[in-house]
Amino acid sequence: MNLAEYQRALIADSFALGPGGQGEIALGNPERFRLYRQMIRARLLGMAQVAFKQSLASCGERSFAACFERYLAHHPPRSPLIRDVIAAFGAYAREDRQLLAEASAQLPDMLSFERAKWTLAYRPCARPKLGQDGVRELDFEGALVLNPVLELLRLAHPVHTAVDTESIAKAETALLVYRPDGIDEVRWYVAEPLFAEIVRLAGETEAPLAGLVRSVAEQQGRVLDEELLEALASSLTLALQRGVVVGVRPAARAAADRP
Amino acid sequence: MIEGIGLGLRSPLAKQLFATGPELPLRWLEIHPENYVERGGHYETLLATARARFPLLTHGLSMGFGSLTPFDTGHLRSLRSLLSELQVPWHSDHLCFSSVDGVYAHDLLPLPFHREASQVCIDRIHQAQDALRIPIAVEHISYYATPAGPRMPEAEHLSEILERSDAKLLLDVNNVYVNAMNHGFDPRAFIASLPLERVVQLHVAGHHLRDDGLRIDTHGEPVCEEVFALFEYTMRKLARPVPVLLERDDNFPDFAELAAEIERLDAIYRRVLAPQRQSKTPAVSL
Repeated sequence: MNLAEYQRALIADSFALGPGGQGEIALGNPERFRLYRQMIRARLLGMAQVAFKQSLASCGERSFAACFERYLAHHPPRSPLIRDVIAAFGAYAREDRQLLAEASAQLPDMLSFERAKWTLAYRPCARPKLGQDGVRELDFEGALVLNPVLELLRLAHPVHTAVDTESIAKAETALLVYRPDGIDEVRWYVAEPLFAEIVRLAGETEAPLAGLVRSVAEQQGRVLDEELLEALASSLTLALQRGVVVGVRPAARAAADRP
Repeated sequence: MIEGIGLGLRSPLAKQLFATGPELPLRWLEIHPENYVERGGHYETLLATARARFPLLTHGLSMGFGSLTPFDTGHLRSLRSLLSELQVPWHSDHLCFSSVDGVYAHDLLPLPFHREASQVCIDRIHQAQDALRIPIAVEHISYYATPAGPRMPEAEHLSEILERSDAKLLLDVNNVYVNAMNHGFDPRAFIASLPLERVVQLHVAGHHLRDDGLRIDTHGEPVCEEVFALFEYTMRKLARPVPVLLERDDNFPDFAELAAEIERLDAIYRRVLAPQRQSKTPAVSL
């Protein structure tokens, strides 16, 4: 067995489903060989258990660990950064039919919420600032400038409220998860449906805010009356206060700082 | 010039670490750059606070000098950018492999001690030196198994790599002790046989002793008496100031326990170097 064969055997065995040990011919001591498999898996699983604590509590250690084993076998780590490997597990688990069949209906939402918190906690970015690079105070002519450390989650269950996760009733929820500028913790709040859709589109288009408001209201079958505009003004004020929205900039320059 | 006792910057220790005063002989901090490259939020703040307070050295976990997979060029670029910003005098990583065919084990896996493996390491260290544009120091790992087949002694393998790659050595005293106990060799003879003029840094750590007698390099236990003694032996062989890291990555105790270990290491360090300092031997330089 040459060097390449040895390295492939050890790593393949470390991530394979089952008890491992297929490659033990490469080593003089099979028991010691299995130690590496155990250490590699324990480290990665331990980090996933920290990142997806709520999901783990919901589905139980055994189901969680089994799903993680399938993840490693089907998608062995492809990033030199361990945090990326853990984040990718959240996306895998959300689609893992075997896990979902064993788990509560809330689990996919929990996985999404915890994956967002995990990735937003460390996402690096250049923060757009008021008064810089054309960013100005909010008006309806400009294109919305969002906090680049932001994700809009469409949840079927409001899992962010969870203490007892099993008792969360189904309720469609648009959750803005973000890390404010200058603050090291991830925060979140529920967005009103019209505003949530505006935030989503603002991440995809360069349209002026006024145009977005009109098209979203039409799409949602809502009349742009005084009441709706007041609600929208409240949403925008809250988003500015919380650091979800930074301001606006001329539409042609709006694409640079998208999340 | 960085010298004296350092500690690894870890989130659970940060608050107490930054609150320490000059009475604790803590001279520098070591960071794993993988925790900080392309990363904002808490880690960005942690790094900025650490830089304002202590000199830093970097110790990587992902280069795996024995890996056959080419370096991830994007990661190398990010690493170079961070190291350049931090202006560290060298960057260290491990003599091991941790990836193959683009799959990363996120652990330090053992290499066979033979010529094919040493040539891979030498080539890769050269690549790292070229890409990062700073000196590379290599750390020999704790290992629990090696492939069957022909092999040379570990010290000979390590020395060959160091000489032919012109790399520096990060000598891990705990790794030497753990390997010596697990594989049955004399740790002092091992250290004495190395090209010690290449040593730029030492690591000291605790390890776990299993019921079956196997020692596991956990960095999660107090430093044992035998490792303190081996550290003193190593310092006497070196007879010059170098940065010495107390590694603690897991099972964090009360900070007072770590402070006591730092003080004990510092006392040994100063006792050994006192005669040299009187004769003004220069600190390690590159």
